[in-house]
Amino acid sequence: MNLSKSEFTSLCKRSLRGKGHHWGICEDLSNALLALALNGFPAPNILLEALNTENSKLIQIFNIVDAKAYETSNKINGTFYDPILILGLISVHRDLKMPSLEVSLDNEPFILVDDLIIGDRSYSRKKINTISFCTEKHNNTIKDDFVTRVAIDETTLKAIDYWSKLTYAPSTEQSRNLGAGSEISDND
Amino acid sequence: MTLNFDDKISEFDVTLRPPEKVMRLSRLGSFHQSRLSFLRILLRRISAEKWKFSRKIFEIGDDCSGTAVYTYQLSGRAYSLIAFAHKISDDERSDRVIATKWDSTFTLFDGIPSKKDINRLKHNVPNQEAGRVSEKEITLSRANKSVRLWDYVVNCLSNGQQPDIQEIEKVGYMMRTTAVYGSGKFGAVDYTEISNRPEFGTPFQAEMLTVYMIRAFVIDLLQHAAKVKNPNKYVQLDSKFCEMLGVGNSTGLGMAPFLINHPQLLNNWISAKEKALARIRGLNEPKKACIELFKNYIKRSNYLIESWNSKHELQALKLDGLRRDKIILDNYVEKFNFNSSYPFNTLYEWAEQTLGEEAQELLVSLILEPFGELIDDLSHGMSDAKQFTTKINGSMLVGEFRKKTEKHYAYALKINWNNSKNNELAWYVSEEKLEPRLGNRFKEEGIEFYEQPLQPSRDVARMHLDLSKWENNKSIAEFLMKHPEHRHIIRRCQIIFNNPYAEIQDNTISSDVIPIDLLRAKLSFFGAFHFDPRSDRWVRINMFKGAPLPQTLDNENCDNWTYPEQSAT
Repeated sequence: MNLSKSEFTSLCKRSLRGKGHHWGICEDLSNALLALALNGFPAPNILLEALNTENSKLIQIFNIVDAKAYETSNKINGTFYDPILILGLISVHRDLKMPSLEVSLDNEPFILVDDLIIGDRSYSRKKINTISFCTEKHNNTIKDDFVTRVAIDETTLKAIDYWSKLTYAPSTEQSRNLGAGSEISDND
Repeated sequence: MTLNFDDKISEFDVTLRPPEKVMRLSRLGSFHQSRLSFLRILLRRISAEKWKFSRKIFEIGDDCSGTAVYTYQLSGRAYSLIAFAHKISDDERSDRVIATKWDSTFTLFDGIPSKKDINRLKHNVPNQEAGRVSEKEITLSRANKSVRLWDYVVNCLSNGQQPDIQEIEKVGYMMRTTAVYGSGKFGAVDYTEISNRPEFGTPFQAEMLTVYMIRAFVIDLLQHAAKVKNPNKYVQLDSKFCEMLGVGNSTGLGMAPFLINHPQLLNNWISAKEKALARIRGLNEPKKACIELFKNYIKRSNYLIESWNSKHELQALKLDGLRRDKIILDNYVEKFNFNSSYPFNTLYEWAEQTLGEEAQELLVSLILEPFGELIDDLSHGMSDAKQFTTKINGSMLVGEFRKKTEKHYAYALKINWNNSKNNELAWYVSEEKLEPRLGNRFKEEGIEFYEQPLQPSRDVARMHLDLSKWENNKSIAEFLMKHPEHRHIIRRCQIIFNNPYAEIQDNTISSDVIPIDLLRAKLSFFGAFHFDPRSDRWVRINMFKGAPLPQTLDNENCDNWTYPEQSAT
């Protein structure tokens, strides 16, 4: 099945919310997942991994990256505050017992150097221990608009949708009759 | 009418109306369509670029079900409305999202569909949310008949008679849409994939095009029904009646979250309108022809107001006030000295002191009407290419952030959030066809758990309380590491700091909030009029009523229809 970009983003946001994440984190992770999907990464599977990761662990990863970002934020105008890295870390099964990430800044304007460049952002498919910045543009930059749909298999969709459904209120007669502010039938 | 506009914008500095005035729900809920409304922009483009309209297929049977295809051909592209007519029983007809059958269903196809395309869509479009469309489709829509008017007009035409004009006016449309989905919904193409096409550069142009073509289909279907009923005696609907008929729309809460979820876009819409008003208020000596046209529109607008009916208590009260104020406005304009300096500024300032918000906003729309050459360019800035992707600036210092929050959200920080009345409602989505709903969190058990983030005022207040415990020289990044629950509202605040009209400056979960104010604000930008609430969270409106049909649309009539001529008599 192919999802539109907005359908995929909505699926990400709803399922992550269903898992109990804060709205702002759902928003950031959804945008990051879409960026990964558009650049040929198996974003639905990464999302599923995120959903199968304990929330506290995800927040812990957030804090690691955010803390490192903060260390350099005065040099990069704070623009490096990007959860795409977190998803990258999840997708390579990073062991949280390992030492903190090493973040270094060469000079501005920066891009991350690794396998994937998305605008000014990047992460590697490989195991990441070090994040570094440099000024050189990477040759294999992939444009965001290259891919327009997100392929997802039925099994993965079903597994993700389980979490989405947790955001919908159960239907009751009271809700059905009063919640929308209109009668059920319309024949004027 | 087109005017040659050679007035310069004067040095006179008319400041934009402040957000704390414009962005209140009561004012947003008093907005009227204007020449910067999206359907107006669409009709100007179609006529300027001379798009060619044709009916490609009309395979509708004697039972009035079947398929039709209408195409607009423009330079290098074509867009086709594929319409499916259905036969349904009265008890199956519902305007709610939870409906599963409709009188007609539609999709806007990118190009001219092949038989294979139509066959694929025949198995999906009639199912709407339960079906699936593809990247070749831009919108998905459906409409229900106004049964009373439909049967009446079909009977008249089949007996060789034209309908009574009063009956047509009472309803104003033969069918009303109950949803026009776009931008990637149910598999359709994402807006970002087509937003670089000039014809879709302004928001909601594909949706407006869909509705405009639906209007043509509905008239054809109506006449077909009359012909089938009495092939020997039937007559075509008089063209003046065809033009009088718009397309209705029945809208519920699904539309309200959009404005809250798209702050940057909302800012761009309101900014365009406010800049337009300021440009005209800043004219020292507006062209005589523009003044005459304005006076003409003032008179002609009476017909629109007279034919606007609503039985709903809220709207009936507003209409009474509008009618009273319109008499005062007419008298004032009649005697007003347009040779004075900055006449439209004087007129607006008088209105602000004298009239209610409904009449003030009507006046704003009327002021914009004659000045197309001065303001139409503002429509180019109404989109938002970067929506949804704003990243948080983590390096902003807490002190600066707090100061800006207190400036932009002063109204929210004054609210007593411990008072249950100020916190009574919760926006949620039902599992029943994902229908958006609004409930009382203290009475409907469990709905708070499903609450959507549609209460920025309360969330800002909560965030501000936590932020007040932090030192000014700490960064927002540090704050968010400790308080990830505020991440969404921090991002929102940073958007609002740079976009003054991005936030609705009211409490969206208060016991006395009127959700239809949100709906009306959006619908006015679509170009709707004759707002007729069915409740405080449900409204019916009319679109394209009085507009030329595709066959007659041209540069002369593309704008000069919203205030019908007959009212000037």
